[in-house]
Amino acid sequence: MSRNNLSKNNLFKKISFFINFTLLCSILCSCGATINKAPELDKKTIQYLALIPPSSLEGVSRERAEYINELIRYELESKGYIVLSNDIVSNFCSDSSCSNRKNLKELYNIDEIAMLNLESTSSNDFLLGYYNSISGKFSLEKLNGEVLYSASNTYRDSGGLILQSGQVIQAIINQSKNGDKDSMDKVNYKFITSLLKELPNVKKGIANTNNNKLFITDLKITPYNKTVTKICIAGNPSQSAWLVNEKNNTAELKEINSGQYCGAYRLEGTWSLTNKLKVELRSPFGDLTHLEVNKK
Amino acid sequence: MKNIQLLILFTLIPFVSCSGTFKHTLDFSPNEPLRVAVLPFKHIDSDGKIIEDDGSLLVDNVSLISSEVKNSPVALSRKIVLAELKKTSLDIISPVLIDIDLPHRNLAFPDGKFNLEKIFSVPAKTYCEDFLDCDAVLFGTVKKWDRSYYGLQSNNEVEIELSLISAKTNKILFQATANDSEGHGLSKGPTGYASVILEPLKGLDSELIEDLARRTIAKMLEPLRSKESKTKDTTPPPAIFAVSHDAINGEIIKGSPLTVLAFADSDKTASFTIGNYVRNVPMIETKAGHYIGEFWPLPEEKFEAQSITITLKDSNNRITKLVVDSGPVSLK
Repeated sequence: MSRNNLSKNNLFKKISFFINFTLLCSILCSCGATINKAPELDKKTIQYLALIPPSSLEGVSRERAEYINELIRYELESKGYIVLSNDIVSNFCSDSSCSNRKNLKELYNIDEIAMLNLESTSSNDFLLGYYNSISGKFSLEKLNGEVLYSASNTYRDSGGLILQSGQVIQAIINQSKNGDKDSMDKVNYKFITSLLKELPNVKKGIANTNNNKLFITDLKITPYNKTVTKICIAGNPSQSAWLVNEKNNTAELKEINSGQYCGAYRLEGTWSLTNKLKVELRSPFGDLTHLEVNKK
Repeated sequence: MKNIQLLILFTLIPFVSCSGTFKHTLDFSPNEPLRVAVLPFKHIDSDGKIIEDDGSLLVDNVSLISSEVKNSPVALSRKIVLAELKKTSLDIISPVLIDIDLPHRNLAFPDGKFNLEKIFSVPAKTYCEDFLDCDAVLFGTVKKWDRSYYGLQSNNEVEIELSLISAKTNKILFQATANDSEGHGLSKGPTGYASVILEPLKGLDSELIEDLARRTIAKMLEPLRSKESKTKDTTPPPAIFAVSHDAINGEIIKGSPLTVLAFADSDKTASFTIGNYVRNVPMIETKAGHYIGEFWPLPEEKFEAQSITITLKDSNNRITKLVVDSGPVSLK
């Protein structure tokens, strides 16, 4: 055999060895989320649910935990689920176990709750490489604790010259991108997407919110005493009502009778009636309507 | 041989360099907490005609190379925009509330699919005044979503336009257009013969174009992030030093207010909450670091054993809470 033919044969052998080795590594390393679905999940018509915020985890700031919670919310909403407002959940559930969850049915007609349990997170940058990971478990449960859907995963992102063989320039680019303060956003996003990917979409045409259109039918501002003003609005019952100032700070108006919401406040500074104030009526699911108290 | 190598190198330089273009105009203060509706996005071809493209390729069925495409380019882009807008001061309407309402406004076909031509022709004022109760509407257009394979090189390219329109004035408050691309293969310095063949194929992984879209959209929306939110990680969160209330034995007397005091970092926004009963009772900073708030009970109100929690918020929207340890209060 000529020298050229021998070197060509060696080249093909090397190529096929590397291809087989890489494929084998891909098979071994292609671990995705572990997902369990109850058979009744596909038949169930869930649309409204409450999302319990993740319990705190050392090394995860509150802002990061809130961001992850919002990612879950958006992922659920993109699948058609209507999620109970964060304000209501945090007020209702004192901790991540939400021991009084059964009252959610009575108050907000919620049948299922979703929650994420973060287990660990790490971010390591060693100049010639980086390794970020996050792990946790997502579950969708009935109010009695029966699990309809659960998914657990550890999402890993690595790169750089040491950990990303195959492309030198791409490895350097990835290393520099990992130095960006928002680099964990990608890891969080992929992690959440992997957990919820098998959760079925809401079937179209199940329910609509038109029947629950919000209205404010009346607004009354009266002196309560020499220094305090009483503000009352009338609207749909069993919602939440708020006085809102220009800085978007809110003060609650309590439902003292069905559909009547009132509060008595010393209206000074940014809450003065000479500033731009409005009243809002909000549904537990994010719908709202508003009325300006004093057009500036 | 050397000449051929040089020729290949110079041909591939455009693929190597950062080829993204980002343009934006901003005509409002990003600190303004506008309530914004993010409508379903549209995907258009080079002639401006709306197309339906789920963004998938044959290679997405090969699990070792790519992942199955779960979302179309428009659905994915909209989802990424919503997640990124969380970092701004804008108050975003839940997209599911929008999507449920559109068919009832004759903005969808009988099968439930959105009528994007109509959706994009309705003015922002109509959306906000008639049914969404918002201050502005965000329209999004995907102009390019391409994955191309050239043997020893593959290329991903996305082009997206976002426009935020005021409902009151119909003015463009913010507009951003971005085009970015990313190559894989010969241009990125393969380390061996196997990587010359494999890397272009791996470059077609649907996750990579999703990553590219996510980075592109994050960069497009950066001008909307308030100055403070860009520095939030470097400054300490707000601190509360001392709190108290004046309810003797935890009893609030009708006709008199419950007064709550806090000594904390100055120039913040303070409020207090009475258990699950009432939220966000405003507190006013009477002098630097000294906050006072009053809850005036109405004749119809009553509650038992509710603890009082002070909340202090800074300009970066970071919150510190402290429970008043004088004990719970009741109103009988």
